Amino acid sequence: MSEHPHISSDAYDTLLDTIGALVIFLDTEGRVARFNAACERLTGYREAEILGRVVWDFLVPAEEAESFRSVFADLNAGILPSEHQNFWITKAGDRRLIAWSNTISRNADGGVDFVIGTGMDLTDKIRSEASLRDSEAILKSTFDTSPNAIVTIKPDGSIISFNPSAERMFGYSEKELIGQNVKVLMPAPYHDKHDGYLARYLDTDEKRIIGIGREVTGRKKDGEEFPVDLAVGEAVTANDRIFTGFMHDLTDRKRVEESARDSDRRLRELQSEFTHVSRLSVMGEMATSLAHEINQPLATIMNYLQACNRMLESQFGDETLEIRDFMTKASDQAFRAGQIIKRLRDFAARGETERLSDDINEVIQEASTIALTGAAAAGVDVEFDLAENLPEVLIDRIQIQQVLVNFIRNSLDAIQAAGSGRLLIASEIGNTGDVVVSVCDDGPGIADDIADKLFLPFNTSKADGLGIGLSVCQSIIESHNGRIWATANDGAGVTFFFSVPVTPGREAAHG
Amino acid sequence: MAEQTIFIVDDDEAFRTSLAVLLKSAGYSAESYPSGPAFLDACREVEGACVLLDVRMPVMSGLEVQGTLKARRPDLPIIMITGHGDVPMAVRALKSGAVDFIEKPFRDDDLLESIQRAVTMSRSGAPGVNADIRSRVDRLSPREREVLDLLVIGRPNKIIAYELGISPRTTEIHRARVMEKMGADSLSHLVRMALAAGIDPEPL
Repeated sequence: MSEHPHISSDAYDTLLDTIGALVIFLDTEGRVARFNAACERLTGYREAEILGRVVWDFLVPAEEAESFRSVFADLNAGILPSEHQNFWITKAGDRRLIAWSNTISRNADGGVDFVIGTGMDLTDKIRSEASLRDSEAILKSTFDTSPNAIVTIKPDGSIISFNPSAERMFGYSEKELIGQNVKVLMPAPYHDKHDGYLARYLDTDEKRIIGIGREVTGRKKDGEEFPVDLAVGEAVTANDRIFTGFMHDLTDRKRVEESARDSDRRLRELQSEFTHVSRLSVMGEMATSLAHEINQPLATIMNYLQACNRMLESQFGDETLEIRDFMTKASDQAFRAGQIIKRLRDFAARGETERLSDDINEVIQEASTIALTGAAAAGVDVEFDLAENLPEVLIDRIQIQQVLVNFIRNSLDAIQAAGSGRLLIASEIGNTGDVVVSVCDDGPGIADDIADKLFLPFNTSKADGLGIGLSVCQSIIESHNGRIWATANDGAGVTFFFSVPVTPGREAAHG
Repeated sequence: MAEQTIFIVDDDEAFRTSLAVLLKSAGYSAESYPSGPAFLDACREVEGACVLLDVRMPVMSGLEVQGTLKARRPDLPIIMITGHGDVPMAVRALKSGAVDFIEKPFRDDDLLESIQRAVTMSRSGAPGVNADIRSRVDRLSPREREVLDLLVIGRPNKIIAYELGISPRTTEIHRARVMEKMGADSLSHLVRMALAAGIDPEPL
């Protein structure tokens, strides 16, 4: 007699129906003697309806009946321990895979009384393992065959995996890189900053690139740098985070874009050059015919004046000295007009321009000297605001001065119309990197009716203007790849601007 | 001494008349014709000292008139007058025997000096190679001489620069030095001197 309290067979019965494991008692013939609640739930059979039925007749699928009986035979023979897996067919016809741990209970004679199986339904576990295996296979295949480079890293930046596309893109093998800090794939300055980026993200959760993506520069094993489109994803696992970088090499796309941009730019250059040249040739033609038409009357005027001069001298001698002096002056002016026309024709015929790298501030100062000479500048307060250390610009000095003189003269005219005023001439680096020159006055401003036609030829607000000044300026600036524009000031007056590109290779000169 | 007669051939009536007035005021007698054919018709009978011939005229250009005139009246010196200086054309005129060419509008002194020279020259026959001018040419550097040769065949600066493989700016500097060393006050003067120095512009 044990000193422990006896546990009744009812208590065992209750226990069998309470535990989650499947428990089945079979007699030596394979007939069901006990079928616990877990078995009932799994199979849909009530214990009462199957007691005494041979288990391989209805629960075990036909194809497994043979192997089941051999296991059962071993058990009957007392061969232990016994574990095996087999399927059960539920009342509804589903197949469930069950892992069994079997034992036997013996009677007083030592013979086998019952075979007892304790089972676990593996079906759901197997299914989720299978689906996990499937998704792993899919991921693996994606990882291996993706045309994008895929790199996964830990939060400390060390590389976990590096797919074949990444190997091709960067020239490293996965083996070389596993455990290395991902910054080896980046050129300076990102190389040195990346650890900081990671730390900041882990610290603040502020997403600067994750889920956003951007174009960055990658660095190959051989040191070559190349543009990549980078997208970063984050996976939070049970006890860590993993960052995945997807990269697409932009080199070819860039090249295509650049060559498209290049040919586009070249085309525009050619167009504006053409416009300029054709405007010049129109001017050239105008100038040539003007020269011929105007030279005839000028020559005639001079002839008469000079003839009168001689006649006065021979008929009246010294008495007419003063008159003759005036006539000489008149004829000198006619001669001067002829010279101006000749120069205009020579200039217009020149067409071709010579570009040299030049200091824009010097050009501005020279042009201002020309434009501000004489009475036009009287009563005008002129100020300069020229930026220091400007990079040199590639220009035809004479043409740019022509533009400046035109701007300044226009402003002087405007200021004079108002009586007196201020003129501000400035240079600076514009936000496109070009050098921008502006001439600002506080005159009466631009009349609405010509504001949008400012740079078209033969538009003028001046009583004596031909209206070609700004049109020529525009054609000059356009042929320099620059921009020309005007804006009304907040207060009084107008500011005229033009921009010209910096001499290639001199961009860095600007502090 | 009888007044010398100067012939004027120009299609612009106002100019023609004014030029005649000017010449008369300077002591010449002037006869004007509105076109080349009109003058060529009359030229056999008329007595004159010099012809002022406009280059650009309808019907018959100054150069064409010059060609015919040389056969009919080889004794008449010709001064070409042009509305706009075209150097190759001027050189051609000078080579085919014109004494000078003058651009409109002009100063009376320049014109009268040119007429004076033409008249003198026609009396004394064509001048030989001028030794003084020749010595000026000899003072030019080899590069300046090259520039001169190209200038007198009417090459513009840009082409000279291209042919000599130098920049247009350098060409301008050479050109200015040539003008200075030769003592030329205009391109027409320079061309005249070059011809007088025996420089024969080849390609025309």
